[in-house]
Amino acid sequence: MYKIVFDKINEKVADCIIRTTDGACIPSDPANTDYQLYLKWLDGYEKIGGEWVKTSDANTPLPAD
Amino acid sequence: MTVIINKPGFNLRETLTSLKRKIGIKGAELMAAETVSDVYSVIGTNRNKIINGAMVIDQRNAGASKLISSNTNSYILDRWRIWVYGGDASSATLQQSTLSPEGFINSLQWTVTSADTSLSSGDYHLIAQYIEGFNVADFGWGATNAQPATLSFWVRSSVAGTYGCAASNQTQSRSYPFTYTINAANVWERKVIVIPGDITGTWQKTTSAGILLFWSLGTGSTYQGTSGIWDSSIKLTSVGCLNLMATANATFNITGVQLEVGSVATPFEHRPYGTELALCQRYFYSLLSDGSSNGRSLGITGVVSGGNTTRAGGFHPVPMRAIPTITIAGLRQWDGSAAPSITGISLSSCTKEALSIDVTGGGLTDGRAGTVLFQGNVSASQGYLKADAEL
Repeated sequence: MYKIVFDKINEKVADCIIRTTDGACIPSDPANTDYQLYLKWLDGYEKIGGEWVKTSDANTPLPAD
Repeated sequence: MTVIINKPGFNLRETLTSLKRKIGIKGAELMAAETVSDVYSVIGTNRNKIINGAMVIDQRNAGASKLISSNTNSYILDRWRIWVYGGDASSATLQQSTLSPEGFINSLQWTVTSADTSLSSGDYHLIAQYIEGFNVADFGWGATNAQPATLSFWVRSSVAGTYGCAASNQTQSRSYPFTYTINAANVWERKVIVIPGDITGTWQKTTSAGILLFWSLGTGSTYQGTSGIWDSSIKLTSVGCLNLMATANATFNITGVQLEVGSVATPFEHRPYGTELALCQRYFYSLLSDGSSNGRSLGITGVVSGGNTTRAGGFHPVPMRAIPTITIAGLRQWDGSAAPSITGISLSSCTKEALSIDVTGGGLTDGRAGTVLFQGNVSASQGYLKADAEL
């Protein structure tokens, strides 16, 4: 599961996402493999074994605090 | 007076054959080398495409063991990825070990904790290294001029037999399974495998994963391929290899891993520790608490703004492969007066070269300078900041 972050200084949605399982802050960089996994998750995919499996139509991150 | 001279026997055929022996483009220079230094001046440096091949860098665990079970995808030693899928109740312990062959001080040790005597078809237990495309672009794979690559490593196992490995591309649409044999249990043996260059497929040549290397310690039939043949799907091992995971308490150690262009295995390239660490930090680094009661400065300072948020930054130890994922624990921020715990983090214009984070907590005063501190006296969970840009 992922959560949107709010940039309190610039008062806008931050350019990153929080992975709720470990609190990791993931930048929206296409070369970042955690971000690649997040994009797959948004599209409803999960990695099962060595394969990507579509388990839902789409996923939605939790809103920012 | 007659003088008779006796000469030793002379095999003309053998001598002529040796003159025709192939010596390659650098053979003459190598044959003329009189010292080890001369040899290295011919074969060059930075040959090894594997990072942390001698298993000396362990930023994540500092030598501590990690228990892994089914569905694990994590790093133990720097750059060394552990992939386990399925296996039900099986588990293994991974650790940096001081068990090593002559010339090395460490190895990566895999110990079977709970056995899996019956692999399902889709199961796998792997040690892997993903090599960045930039570092293997000179192999030329995916084109007609593809060069062979030579993999060499030291290995030791409590179970002798035939083991499987594989190389694949990032999309896992091309793979090359192969085998090696451990001839005797509990004895270090050096293995050398020449991988023919792949003239087809798509092989990444920049910041994505260029070549994926897998050492299988038990893989099901779905991912078994024919040894020594390029396959157009993902194979992680070869048919007929043993399943180490079937033997409880079995051990497997590996070190001295080297992958180099060409079909000759040169001696393992021992890079300076600092160089090897910097190479690892392109993909991961951690800043840890020193354990002191008052904490210590992280060295990243900034300003308090936006309602108890400190925007702080600094440079990464080396430029990273990608903008890293940041994980923190046990940190505080300090504005010269208050020092609240950090309850939230986000990235603010973080780049591959520099860290820029917003950390939030209560009780700070806007407009003051703010510093991020380690919470150094947390014995159970040492304060840290980790930056991860792994492949």
